[in-house]
Amino acid sequence: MRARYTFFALLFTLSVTLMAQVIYFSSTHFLSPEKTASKEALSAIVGLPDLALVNEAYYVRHRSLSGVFAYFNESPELLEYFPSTFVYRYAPYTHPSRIERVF
Amino acid sequence: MSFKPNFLLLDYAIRSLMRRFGKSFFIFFILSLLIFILSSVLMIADAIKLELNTTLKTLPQITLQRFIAGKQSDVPLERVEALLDIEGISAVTPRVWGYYYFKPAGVNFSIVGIDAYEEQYSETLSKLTQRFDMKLLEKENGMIIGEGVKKILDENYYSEFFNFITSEGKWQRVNIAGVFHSDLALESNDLILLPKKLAYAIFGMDERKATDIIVKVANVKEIPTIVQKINERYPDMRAITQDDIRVSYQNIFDYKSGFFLALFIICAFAFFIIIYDKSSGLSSEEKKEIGILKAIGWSSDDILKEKFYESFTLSLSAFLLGVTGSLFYVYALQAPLLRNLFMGYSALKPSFDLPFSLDVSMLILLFLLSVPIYIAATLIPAWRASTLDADEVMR
Repeated sequence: MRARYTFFALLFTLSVTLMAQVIYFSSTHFLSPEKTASKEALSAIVGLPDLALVNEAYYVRHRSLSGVFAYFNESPELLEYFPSTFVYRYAPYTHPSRIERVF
Repeated sequence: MSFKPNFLLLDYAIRSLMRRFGKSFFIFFILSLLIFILSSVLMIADAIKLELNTTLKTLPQITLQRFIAGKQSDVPLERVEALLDIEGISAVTPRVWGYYYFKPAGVNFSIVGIDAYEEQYSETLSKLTQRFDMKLLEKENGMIIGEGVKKILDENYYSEFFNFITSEGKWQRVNIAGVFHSDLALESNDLILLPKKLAYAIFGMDERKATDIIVKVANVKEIPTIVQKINERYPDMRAITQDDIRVSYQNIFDYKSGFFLALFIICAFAFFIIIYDKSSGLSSEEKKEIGILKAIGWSSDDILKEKFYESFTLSLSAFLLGVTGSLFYVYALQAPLLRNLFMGYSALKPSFDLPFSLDVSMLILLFLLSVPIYIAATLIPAWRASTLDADEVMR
């Protein structure tokens, strides 16, 4: 058998799997208008930002609302002591910290 | 110049790859792995961004917090009335919310107080929850909890109610009036919604004070002016506008910050090492092969075409495999290992059921970062070898 047929078969299988996954996940995991509406309704009642993904400390849970010196509530030396603080970072525009100010 | 596909050359290229199976497979594996990791991280980030932006517009336009000596503190309720005097403000609502540390499980619950008696809530809440009991929320002490809270309470044998320990050391028994749907887990996993009165009792807060105040503005364009006016009247109040939260969300996913960049640099470096290794020169065996091909009458053009087919089949298959794998990994397996980067290590973790979001531009970027670079890295040394004399190359 010619080698190209094996390659085309592989390419075809991969493409079909990819397309099938896209179609399947877009139907099962799609943010439907109903889902969006219920999420919006909840956030309208609760009124708090950020996702419940990280909640080992209160200043990481609702990061967008945490205080100016939220990092230093426990100790000034420990700036990054959760893995999530590397990923989630406060906005410098909203919470200006004196530590980062260029003099 | 037109490019006609030459299937015989393609056959030759594939067989040539199979002849050096070990080496080809290693490159294929590493390339697929790189594309897989990068696209998984980008897909997760994209899905979280979509989830956050969905609820952004329903968040309060302005949130006011009071700071005393650099620490956030409760706001006296008299300020609510005073704030209404400012022109342009259409509604001011005091809020009571905070965190409750549940020691046996070592987790923080987010407690939010609501005006349970307001009728408009009951209909919405019944849609958002499973086995919702409004009477329990109104008359008896009831609360609506997130899926994660329910799980933690069940583990600690609180299946019907929970005993909060108030600041005075007393037990406050609160019945479970409903559980939020699992679709809302990303927003409500650690959430406890209960009447304001109960929230005051649990936190031991003065009922004449609120945690913060939310302000509704009639004209969105007036928000900066109103924030300025509030700041002038109450310099101890910090205003967080919806736009600030949007910027904060944007910043969360800024590549300049955090782990994404680190991960990207590691991947990119590993990839460039392979490229460097490839482009630093062909092995003597490969050079010999080119020499023999030239000796039996192949032109430089044919050799380059064959090398192009070789690298294209390898990198395209690796790209497709990487993307297919990452889709399955993120949405079917819920990204084991990688999700820990996004979730922290608290015991209260929601299921990582992310909304589907496939950014085509991200896929194109990944394609351009992998396939053409790899093809170039293979073609350049092959071109160098193919321009030499057959005799010289073989020697």
